[in-house]
Amino acid sequence: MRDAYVRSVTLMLVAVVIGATAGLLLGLAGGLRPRSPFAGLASAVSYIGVLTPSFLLAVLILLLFIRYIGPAFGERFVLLSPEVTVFDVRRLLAPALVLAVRPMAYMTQVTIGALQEVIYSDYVRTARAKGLLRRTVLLRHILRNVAAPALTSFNSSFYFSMSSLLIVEWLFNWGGIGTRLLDAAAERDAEMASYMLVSVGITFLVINTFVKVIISRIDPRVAEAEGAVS
Amino acid sequence: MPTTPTPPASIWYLDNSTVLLAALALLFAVSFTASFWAPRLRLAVRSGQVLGERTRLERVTELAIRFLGNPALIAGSLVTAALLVAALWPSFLSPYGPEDTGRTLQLIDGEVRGRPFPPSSVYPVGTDREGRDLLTRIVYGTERTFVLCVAVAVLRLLIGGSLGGWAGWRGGAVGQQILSFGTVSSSIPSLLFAFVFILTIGPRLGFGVFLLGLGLTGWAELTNIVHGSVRWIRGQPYLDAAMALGSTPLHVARRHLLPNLSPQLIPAAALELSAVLLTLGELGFLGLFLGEGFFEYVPQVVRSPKLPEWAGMLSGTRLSIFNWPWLPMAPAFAFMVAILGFNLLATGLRKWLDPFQLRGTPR
Repeated sequence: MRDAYVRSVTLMLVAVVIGATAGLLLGLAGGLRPRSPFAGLASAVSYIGVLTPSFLLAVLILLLFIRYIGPAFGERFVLLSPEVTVFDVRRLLAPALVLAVRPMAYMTQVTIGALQEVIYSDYVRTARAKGLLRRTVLLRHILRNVAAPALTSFNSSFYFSMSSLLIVEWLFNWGGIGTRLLDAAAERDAEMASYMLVSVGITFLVINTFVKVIISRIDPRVAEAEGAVS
Repeated sequence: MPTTPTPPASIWYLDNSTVLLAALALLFAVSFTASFWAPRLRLAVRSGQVLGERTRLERVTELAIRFLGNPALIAGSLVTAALLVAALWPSFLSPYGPEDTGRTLQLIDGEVRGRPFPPSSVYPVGTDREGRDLLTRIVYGTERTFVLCVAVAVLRLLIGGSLGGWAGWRGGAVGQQILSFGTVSSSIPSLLFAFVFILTIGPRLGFGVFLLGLGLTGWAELTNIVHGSVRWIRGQPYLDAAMALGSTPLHVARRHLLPNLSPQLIPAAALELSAVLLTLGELGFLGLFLGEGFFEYVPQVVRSPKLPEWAGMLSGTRLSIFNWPWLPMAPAFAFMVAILGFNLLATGLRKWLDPFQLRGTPR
């Protein structure tokens, strides 16, 4: 059971980190130049990416690996066998890519949305007018204000990658929490199911708290608001 | 007895696909251009007259410009219209009957093939293991899938709307309890809940179990929307005036609440349709579907459902990806198109119903 937990959390972490990084880069590339054709492409791709059902994506990526990527590397990717260890990249890559698409698309949307407000704001214009370096404006004025919504979306990515996790683990024969949960539900094994659910819940809670702490470090307004409430 | 399908299928929309695609491309080119110019055009139509009576021609032109300048609404309503036609009149869109199986071996594109037949000129998206045309079954399955989908969305709307309305109108401790109940319910993944619920009660019981399993979660977002709007409306002066004049609750609901809620609630309902469809597809992929109500999670014996239904067509296809990828791909793409269509419809409706857009100020 610990094995299943480690497998699932590894898969989810890898997927969400890949997705969030790619999404942040894509969103920055699109959002910093909102009139360019690339920006339109980025928002169209993210609109479709959020909506694509995980089963379609899983089938497409599995086909891609079987037909093209496997032969190109001259090595058979170990896609469905349950015996391989977690940290085998050949095994991990395909399911992680499937799980990464929705966080990536969501992150892109959030980043583009946040940038739209920030880059036309008065303080950015002032900073540019003062003649600060482009890099300084980007790092200190723009990125710091985008970081809070982006990190919040990182949090919610974890939440909705949970529901794809069931599908992806089952399809890729990944013996993790999702598969165990489905098995437990099919066999009416309430004890097993509740162990799994509680472990997932605690993991979400820990990650959630961790990210919130980071956000309040970055954005002092959040910390103040929370301090005022409690 | 299974019948033999007539060799190459003649389907009007595939035969004229170039013309249709060109027409669509032209429509969307016009629409994207119009979306850029729409505010200016609408002002030009009004000929400087902002208040006061407008002629019938002016009103019709303005509506036409608003529709044409909304590509998302056009795309969404096209997909929805296609799905409606498929649900109401399937024989208009499908080349074969849903149970036609054809011969065991067939000469397809100069090659003798066995079942399942790959996508070709005879079978546009291939056939299933029994040799039944997948496109036909997708078209015929629309009705069953969508009746369930709409029913679930209506149930969620009823639960979410009534709870949110109560919480927003009465407020107080009960309202807070309702809202926190909604938060708890939204933290349960709806796929997991539906899977456990349907499996425990028994998928063989059919429609009702699926309706409850999918409809009892996922309403929390609607509750929040309704709660927020109702609370906001409650604080408005016009509502105080209406109450002071002695309006009945029914009158208040019809005259003040519904018109103010609908711009947010109608797009939310379209989004709900797509969310339900997604969960339905995922359940089907795991092997739990409405079809005849049997369950084949980890299919040892591969059976295909008799009655066509999208989720059922998706079930039991996990291991066919390697040899017959069109088996899962065809229904999965059908789900994708429908989900995308409903989302576009929601986006378009939100823009169409947005009250602040009526003022027609150019950017």
